[in-house]
Formats: sequence, structure tokens, C-alpha cells
Amino acid sequence: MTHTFKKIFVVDDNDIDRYIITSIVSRFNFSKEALEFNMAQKALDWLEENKSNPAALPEIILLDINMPEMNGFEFLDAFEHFPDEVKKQSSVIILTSSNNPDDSERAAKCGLVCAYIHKPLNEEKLKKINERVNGASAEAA
Amino acid sequence: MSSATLTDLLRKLLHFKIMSLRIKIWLSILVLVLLFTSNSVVIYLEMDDNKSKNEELSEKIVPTVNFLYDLRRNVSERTSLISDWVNNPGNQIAKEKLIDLHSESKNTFLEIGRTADNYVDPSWRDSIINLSHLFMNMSSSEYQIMSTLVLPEDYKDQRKKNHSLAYLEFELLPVSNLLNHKINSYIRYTEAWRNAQGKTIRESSDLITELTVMLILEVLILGFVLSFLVERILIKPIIEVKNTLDKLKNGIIIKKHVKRKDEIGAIQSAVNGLADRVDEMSAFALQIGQRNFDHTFEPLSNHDKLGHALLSMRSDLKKNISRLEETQRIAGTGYLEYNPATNRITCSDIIWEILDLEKEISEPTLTDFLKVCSSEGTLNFQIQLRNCLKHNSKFELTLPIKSYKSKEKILSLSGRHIITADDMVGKMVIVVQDITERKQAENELKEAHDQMEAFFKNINDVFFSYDIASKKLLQISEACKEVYGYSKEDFQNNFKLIEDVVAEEDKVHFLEKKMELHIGNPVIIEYRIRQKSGAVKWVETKITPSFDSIGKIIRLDGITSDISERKESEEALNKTNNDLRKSNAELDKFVYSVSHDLRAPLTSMQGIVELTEMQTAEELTGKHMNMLQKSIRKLDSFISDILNYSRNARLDIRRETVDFKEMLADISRELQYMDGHDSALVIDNTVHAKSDFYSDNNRLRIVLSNLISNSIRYKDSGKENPFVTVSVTANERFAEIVVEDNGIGIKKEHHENVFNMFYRVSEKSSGSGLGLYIVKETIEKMNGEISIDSVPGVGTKVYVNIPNLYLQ
Repeated sequence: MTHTFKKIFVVDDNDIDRYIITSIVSRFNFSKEALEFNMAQKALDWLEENKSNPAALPEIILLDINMPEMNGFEFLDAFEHFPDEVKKQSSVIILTSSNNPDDSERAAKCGLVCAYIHKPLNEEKLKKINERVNGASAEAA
Repeated sequence: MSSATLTDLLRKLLHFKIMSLRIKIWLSILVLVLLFTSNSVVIYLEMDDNKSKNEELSEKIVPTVNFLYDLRRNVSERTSLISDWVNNPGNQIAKEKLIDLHSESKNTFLEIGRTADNYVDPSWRDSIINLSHLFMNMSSSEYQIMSTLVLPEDYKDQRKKNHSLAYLEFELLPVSNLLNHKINSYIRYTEAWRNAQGKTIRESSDLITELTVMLILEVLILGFVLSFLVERILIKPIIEVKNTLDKLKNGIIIKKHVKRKDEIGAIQSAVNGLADRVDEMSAFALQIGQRNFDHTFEPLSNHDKLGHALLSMRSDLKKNISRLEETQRIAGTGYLEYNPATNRITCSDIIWEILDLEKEISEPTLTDFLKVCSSEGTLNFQIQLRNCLKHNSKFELTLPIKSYKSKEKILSLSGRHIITADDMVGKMVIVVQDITERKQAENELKEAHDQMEAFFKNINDVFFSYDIASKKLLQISEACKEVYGYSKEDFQNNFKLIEDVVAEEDKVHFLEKKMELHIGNPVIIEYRIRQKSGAVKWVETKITPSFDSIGKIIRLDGITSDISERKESEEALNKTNNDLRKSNAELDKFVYSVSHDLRAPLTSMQGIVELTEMQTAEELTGKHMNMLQKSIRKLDSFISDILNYSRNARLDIRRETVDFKEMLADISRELQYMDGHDSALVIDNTVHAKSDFYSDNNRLRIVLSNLISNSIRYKDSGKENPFVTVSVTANERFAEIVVEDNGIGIKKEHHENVFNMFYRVSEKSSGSGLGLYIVKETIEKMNGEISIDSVPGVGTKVYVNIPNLYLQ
């Protein structure tokens, strides 16, 4: 792993999946810190609180789609209203077990989504995320 | 004047007729003047000569003669007096008188000298002088006597007396006698000369008189001749020209042969030219009158008003006649004139066309015309004709004929007997019209009408025709009884009924379609009606508008069908469709929920298994984890298959741009972790796209993914270079996809079953048995085709053909 992120979010209602993700992330030293949220709203709240502090913001948000109360797309709709600095700082990666083409299409249309990854997460997929995010930031720079 | 011109003039004189009038007049005047002048000169000369002779007569001869007479008287008087003087002494008176005379004799002598001076002629002067000498001798003798015998005593003296007597006797008297004799001779001579002179003068006067008379006669004759000539060469031709012109004025064209070459000749030529022109024009007008419009005629100039007027008259007439003929031809109507006196007919060309006969008989008889009629028709026609002529009335007749080309035709004849004051027999004027087509059309129309009537009676739909202006129902078919429950009479008695039967809530549909009708589009309206019984029915009306020539809508024609049954089934179908659509959506949602809910724990399991695999050092645990992972993948793939099958069955085909290269790359990437895929296997993708390709991306992906995974799954492990090649050739109509491998292959007997649901070739098969079934179903949904060609141990080739949705 060439690059280690400082902070990532893991937004997923499934405890086991969050466990798998954090385990993989730490195992392959993908990020120093992984904040877990079992509800999308909680993640939004956190971001809302810290939006004026770019240093505290996560570099990557790993987002599940199928979640109770607020699903992944609803989260994205809300995230859309955040300041540009926040959106620039935090790249959203969809990580889902859905193989519904509608979902992948919708994600592709949303400008905020940096990558669409099927579960389960593994080393290859982490590499892909890394490439995408760094590529995107490089492009942005 | 040269001799040439002179000869020329002479020649002209000889050819008097060809001379110009002006020269003729000048020549006549010249002749007259010459004649007059020559005559006058002769007269003048003659008169002058006369005058000098007269003068001579009065100045010389007459005084001389008178003097001679005086002298003779004087001499004889003196002779007698002197005798008396001698013989008679007492006569004093005679003596005195003699003395006087004597004293006078000096004067007389002078007188003689003066008379002699008058004559230049010397002989004559000498004679006169001789005379004066004699006179002087006598006078001196007298004086001797007188002086001798003065006193009475002298007389008594005898000597004296004798002397005197002797004087007297021998001297005086002889002198006196000689003188007398001479005087008498002179008188005679002079008188003869005077007479001769007088005669000459008289003769001259006579000549003058004759000349004058001649002159007058000449003038008279010449004047007569001239006036005759003038009359002959001037007035007569002018009158002739005038007469010609008069005749021209009255329309009689006469031409005179022009012999003359003078001005009159020119006038005659001009009049002839005019006559020619009038003749030509009248010939042209005659040609026009005879309907010959091809006669060559050119106006003389731009100012030739008559010529131009004739030409424009001709073109107008031509136009009118061609219009008339065209009108007759179009109307199929001709004009026929029958003269009962001659039994001949004259008719317009169209009649011959109607009879299919060449116009070869110039004046056909009625029989020629009647040849085309049947015997019955001929009879009818003749009866009508006879009645008409007899009663001076008119007739109308429909005459069926068989034309000269054996075509059956129907003619309509309208005749009239026309009598004029100068034609008491009169003639029949008949207008003939070919009404074959009209009759035919009438018959056809009636037939069509009957057919329609029959058709309407047997059909369940209601046909109607509605007049917009009068708001009247023109027609409605019998079927209205079936559809509306109202009879045809009900509708015809109450024009508003057709509107009233429309259900109140559906009347709005008619208002909505009004505009469509007015722009000429036929409309279809579905609405409810209330039948006579009160029952409500669904009907459908198709209305077609008709317009008049100015585009105003005038009539609506329509068909109303009872669609109650259709409407019911439509409604039922709609309901089913809606329900189905609802359940489909629900099912889709359900399938997804289920698949997600099934897959979510599966992926979790997979994640845990992968984690465990990574973390365990025990070989057996690793082996078990691997087996667990295989089972999970199989289950996952099975769930995917079910999901795909379900979606393919329910979802509509989508039309999207297909990027085969990207799609194949994606699939290859996805499949690289599947079981059986190892580094030895080569997947080769070739794409030839000649045009943009449109299809359903998801379905295409399912198809390709399944086919490629099958090739991977059933690869031949015994072969050194296992491969899968996918080649895509796309054009604007379709895409041909060939998936080829060198796998284990399929036996021939399985080929037809491999696409069946849950069919598996052998127990070795590791798939769900749904893969190829889903592929086939999906391809069929996309209107494509699939076929398989496989040899066990060699490999398998799958051919797929998918249509390009480019054009849709």
C-alpha cells in the first residue's frame, strides 16, 4: 500500500460489515483512523459539526446504500448541500452488496461519488479506491 | 436648245397621250398665244399701211383734186367772163367779177406752186409748174384784153376791138383751152390715182376685217378644241375616277385599264390600287366570313387601320369560334338546322363527332342523320318534327342512337320551328346534346345508391350525413334503431335528437374536436349515449368534414358504431394492465429486496471468510474457508441469475448506446476472480463497430457475461493454451457476436437442450442450470438470435445476433 489516509468514515448499518471493513482497512494500513457510523444521519451530523475545520474532515467516506432511516443516496443528497471545501476534502466511495444496475447508474450520475465498489472489500478494491481518490485529487490539484 | 431635247420634245408632241398634263396645258396656251400674236402683227402692219395711204390721200391728192377743180372752174369762168368782157361792154358786173378774179389769179398761182411743193415726184411737180405757166400766160392775155378794152369808146375803136378780138380768139382761148385740157387731164389722172389709192385702202380694210374675223374664229375654234381636249383628257377621266370612287363607296369594285401615263393615269392607278386593296380586303373578309382563318394577309403598314382591324377581327372571331367549338365539345352539345323545303341539314362539327362520322358530306340530308337512330327512334323523331312544323311549336326528345362506330349513345334534342318574314316555310333549329355520360353516371349513381342502401341495411353501424348550414340530418341509416333505439323517422323528425342522445358529460368531447374538423381532419370520438330505453351505451363516431369551394365546412359524414363490448373489455384490460403494472413494480422491488437481503449476509460471510483465510495459518481451516467461499459464490451467482431472469421477463427493452469494448473489458475484469480462471487462460476481445450501436446495456451484459463465464467454467484443463475469444462485428442493422473457446465442448445430442431451464449436460456441471436459459430468454426479448456449434474435446462456438436499435 503506497498511501495511508489519515481519516476515513465507514457508514454502514451492518455491524459485521463494518467489522470486516475496519479489519481490512487496518490490515492493509489503508487509513490511520476509521470512524464508524451505523446510521447515515450520524455521519452527517458529525460532518455538520466539523465542516469549518477541514483538518478534522475525513479523506474518504465509505458509504453503504441500503440502510434504514436514511439510505446512501439520501445521505448524498444532504451532503450535496455542504460547502465545496468539505466535498472536495471528503471523497465518497459507495461500498455495497447491491447488484441492482439502477443503483450503480444512479451512483454514476451523482458527481460526488468517486467509486462504486461491491462488497466484500479486499486488497484489490482498496488499491482501486486509492488510485481513484489520489487520481481525483491529483486532477483537482 | 439642243437638237436632242428638240427631238425629244417632238417625240413627246407626237406622243401627246403620254405627256404630263402640265406640259399639255402649257403647250395649248403657247399655241394660242403664238396664233394670237402672229395675227395681231399682220393686222397691225396692214392698219399702219392703210393709215399712211389715207394720210397721203387727205393731205396731197384731195387738196390737189379740189385745187384742180377750182382751177378749172376759175379758168372757164374767166374764159366766159373775158369773152363777155370783149363782146359785151356794158356788163359791169361781169367786169368787176373778172377784175376780182384777176386779182385773185396771183393767189391762184401761189396755190399752184404750193400744190406742186407737195409732190416729191418731179414729173408731177413739173406738170403742176407747167400748169402754172399756162395759167400765167392766160392771165397775161386777159390783162392785155382788159387793159385794151377798158372804156366804152375803146369798143368803138375798131382796131382796139379787133385787136382784142384777135387776142381773145387766137391767144387766150387756145391757152384757156389748153389749160382746161391739161387741168382736165390732170384731174382725170389724179382722180384715177385717188380712186386707185381709195381702192387699195378699201381692200386693206377688208383684209383687216377678214383677219379680225379669222382671229375671232380661230380663238373660238381653238377654245372649242381646247375645251374639248380638256374635257376629253381631264374632266372625263376625273369623272371616271369619281365614278369609280362612287362605285367603290357603294361597294362595287371596278378597275379601269390605265393607258395614260400622266397625272390622271397616276390617279387612276392609285384608284385601281385602292380598288385592289378593297378587293383584297373584301376577299379576306369573305374568307373570314367563310371561316377560313389561314388566308394570308399582311397589313400594308402600321398605319393600315383597316388591315389591322380586319386582322384583329379575324383573331377575335377565331378565338370566339374556337371557344364556341370548345364549349360545344366540352358540353357535348351541337347545333343542327333542318330545312324542310330541301330536306337538308346543316350542323356544327361537334354533331359529326357525336355521330362518330367524318365530316365528308357537305350538305347531308335528314336521312343521313337518321341512319344512326333505331326505327323506333326515327319514328319518334319524325313525329315530333312533323308536329312541330305543323303547329309551329317546339319539342324535346331523348334519342338513343347507335353511332357510325356502333357506339351506343343517348342524345337529348331540343327543337324549335323558326319562321321569318322572308322565309314562310321556316326551318327547324335543334340543339343536340350527347348525354350518354350523364345518363351513365345517373345509372351508376342510382346503382351505387341502391348498393349503399342495401349495405346500410345490413350493417350494424349507423351512417349519417349532417348539413351544417341547415343543421339538418340529411341521411341516417336503418341501423340507428339498433344502436340508439330510435328509428330513422325519429331522427328525421327531430334534428336535435342526434345531439340530445349524447350523454351530458361527454358533449365536451365534441367541442374539443370541433377545431380538428374545421381544419379538415377526420376525427374519432368515443362517448356515451342514452338509448330510447334509458340505457347507457358506449359508441364511437368517426366524422369526416366536407368543404365547399371556398373552404367553408358544409357537411359532416359519419359512422357511429356500438362499442359497448369493446369498451367493457378495454376497461377490463386497462384494469388488468394497471394491476399488472402495479404488481410488476412491486415484484421488482420485492425481488431486489430479497436479492439484496439474501446477498447482503452472503457478502458479509464472504468478507468474514476472506478475513479468516488471510489470518489463519492452519491448512485445514484455509481449505474449509476456500470451500465455504466457493459455496457462497455459487449461491451469489444463483441469486444473480434469478434476479436477472426476473428482470428480463418484466422490464422493457431500453435503447442506449453500447460500448462493446468497455463492456467486454468490464466483464473480463469481473470474471478474473471466478473459479477456473487462471493465468493460463487467455481472453481475447475483438470489436469491429462500423456504426454506433444501440441496445439494452444490462441485457447485453448479462448475455456476454454468461457466455464468457461458461467458456471459463468449462475450459479444457488438459489443453496447454486455453482461450476464450469474443469477437463483435457491429453495423447499422445488427451486431454479430461470436464467443469461441477450446473448452471441453458439448455433445451434439445436448445442443438442442442446453438452453432449457435447469438443464445440465453432466454432473460435472457446476452452474445453476439457469445461465444459458437466461441468455436465450434475454436474446429473444431483444429480438436476437443465438445458435451453438460445439464439438466435444475441440471447443464451442456460440453465435449471437442482436439487432441495432439505431433506427428506432
